[in-house]
Amino acid sequence: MWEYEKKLQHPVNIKNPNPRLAKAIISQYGGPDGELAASLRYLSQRFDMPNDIARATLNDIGTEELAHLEIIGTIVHQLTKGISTAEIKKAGFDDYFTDHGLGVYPQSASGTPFTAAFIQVKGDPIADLNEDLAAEQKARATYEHLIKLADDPDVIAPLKFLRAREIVHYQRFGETLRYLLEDMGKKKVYSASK
Amino acid sequence: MNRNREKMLRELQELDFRMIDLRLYLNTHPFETKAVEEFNMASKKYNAMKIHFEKMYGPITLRGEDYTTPWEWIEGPWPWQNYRKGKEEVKVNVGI
Repeated sequence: MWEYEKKLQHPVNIKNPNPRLAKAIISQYGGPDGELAASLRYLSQRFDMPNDIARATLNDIGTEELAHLEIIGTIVHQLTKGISTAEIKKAGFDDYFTDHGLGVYPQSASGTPFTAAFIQVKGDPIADLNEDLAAEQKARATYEHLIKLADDPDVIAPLKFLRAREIVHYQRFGETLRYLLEDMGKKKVYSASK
Repeated sequence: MNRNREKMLRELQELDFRMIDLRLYLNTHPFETKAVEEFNMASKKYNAMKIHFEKMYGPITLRGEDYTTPWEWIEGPWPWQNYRKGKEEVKVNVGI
């Protein structure tokens, strides 16, 4: 189960609205390599993991991603809070505004709504962990794109934090995969017979 | 913005982060005694500071046992809110 903690994992305090940037950053909320996809991927894959290290790693990283989802939602909210119709039009935010107002909707930067098709649960620990390693790298690359687009230090600081977490998660998934391969080697269930 | 609240919250976030990071590390290094000790130390500091923070600024988690009315949990700021240019939201009267 989960329990809510009334605080963010990393502070977000944005002083200047920027709806154009919000529309890019929303991709890490509901886009293909975003935090919602990450969390759902790991929390779903964990059920069929064959050892405790893999179960714990997927459980805890999947949980941390939920905290990251909240950070991204907060950035988008603070970047758009109280903006005027003129600002909406000027920033090209009118298409998003038409469907969602100033709400935070899980979609990619290009407008694709969140879909579970972004993730896979293969029921095969080696395949799943390799997907997770790739997912962390794709998320890291997305954060680097966003950091390039951002020019506000209030936005860049939490994005850098999130980027660094992707690298740590990649490391932990790599260790998990290595343990799993060692385990499977011992049990000699490594071959694809039949 | 309440500077003392922000400062204390920041310290809690730092301790919490240390615990989150060490916990992931320990999942794949379960025999690292030094990391477990560091985890315990951060946890101890966090728990003490959390009690202090909650006394002053309200609950972070609802695990206390001496709450009163009005129900404090609903009180902002919620984590996604900030205080841009001094324009705080008008408090909604929920009919108390």
